[in-house]
Amino acid sequence: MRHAEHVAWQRVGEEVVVVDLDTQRAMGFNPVGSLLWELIGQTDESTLAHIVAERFAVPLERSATDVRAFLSDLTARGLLEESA
Amino acid sequence: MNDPFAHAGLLGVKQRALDRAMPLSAYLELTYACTWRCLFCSNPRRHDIQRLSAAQWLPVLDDLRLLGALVVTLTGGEPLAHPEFFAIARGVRQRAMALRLFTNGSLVDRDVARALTALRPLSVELSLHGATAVTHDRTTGREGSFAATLSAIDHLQAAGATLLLKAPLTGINEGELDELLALAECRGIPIRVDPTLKPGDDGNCAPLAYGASRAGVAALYQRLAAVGQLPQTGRAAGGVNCGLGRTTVAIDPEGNVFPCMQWRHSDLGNVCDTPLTQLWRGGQRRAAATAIADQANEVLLALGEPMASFPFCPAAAVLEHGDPLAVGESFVRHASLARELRSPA
Repeated sequence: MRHAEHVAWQRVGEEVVVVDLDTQRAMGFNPVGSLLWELIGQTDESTLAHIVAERFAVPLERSATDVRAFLSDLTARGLLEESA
Repeated sequence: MNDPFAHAGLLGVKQRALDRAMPLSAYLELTYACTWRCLFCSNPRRHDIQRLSAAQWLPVLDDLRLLGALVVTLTGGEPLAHPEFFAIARGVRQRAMALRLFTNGSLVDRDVARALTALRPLSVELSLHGATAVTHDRTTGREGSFAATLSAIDHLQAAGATLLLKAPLTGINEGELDELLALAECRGIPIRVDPTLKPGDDGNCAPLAYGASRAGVAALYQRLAAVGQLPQTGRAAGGVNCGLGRTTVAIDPEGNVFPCMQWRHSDLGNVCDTPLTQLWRGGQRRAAATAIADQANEVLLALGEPMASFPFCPAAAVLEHGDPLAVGESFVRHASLARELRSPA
């Protein structure tokens, strides 16, 4: 997975702001989502879940569920695409 | 929403950028060369002394990314006249920043429109100076420029680009206001008509002579009032007037850095001598610019209505009056007019 080509983004303080250039819509992520966004493309889903569990002191089972939901939602919104 | 890590609101973004002095919006003047000779052009010259190449712009884009830029606007002159325009534009997108283009459209043919649109620009903003060839071409000093603009619009729309038309309201085109609005509506493109002309970047006030009449500005404001789009700003004690030196940065064709697109009173240094990150983070001159933004807010608040709620530009003030905090006659006139229309007796 990687960020879609039609996306612009930037970290502004604790939050990442993502602009979908096709729809002209912007959205912001909370600190957990922001960390995940920045790591997408660098590691796999399982590692992401471990990182969230460790950094934010949540059970791994819950972080795995939330990470999966996050990635699914971003994919559904067209903000992520398969790596080449 | 089933996304646990996202929220729809972005209300805090600008404030966070202001607090951190992150230049969310960067303006790169790629060249002063231009195919038009607009009567009220603010650029001090129409040629470059030592224009930056793409190889020189790319590290600047790296620094903009690091400093927090989200939107990079390529402007000029006519930015498409830079021989390496597309290398620079691609560089913006490769760094995950949004690309915006200010152009007169004269160099946009079908292929350029397609290449531009492939970069997925946030917007392509075209200058339109009249609803007729006579008016537009008189303003640009180039016969055929109106037809060229309409052709560019056609090519860009066919390619699927997001467009915005920008029309400075002047004494020359104010009689065509309704036709301008109709032209934009007919093509399904938003239009921004602005009666604010600024002095040249070198302080030359000659462009102001082309300003719209009071009746022309009133006609525009009446239309803006009808759709709730009169110029307005909110102020609070301890706030800032604008993003001067905080959320905007501009770089001219030779690499001189300014704390906003309009501010030419003093530069922050040159990217050929010092990395942009260093100029931005360490410079006393940027701090001085932010102090102006703070002071302007307090000055406008102290003046009360109607000035307090009308957008004020310290950069225009310093060019026109030699003092970034000077409130000029045209500002007061426009602010009063907007106030009357917001609160009809």
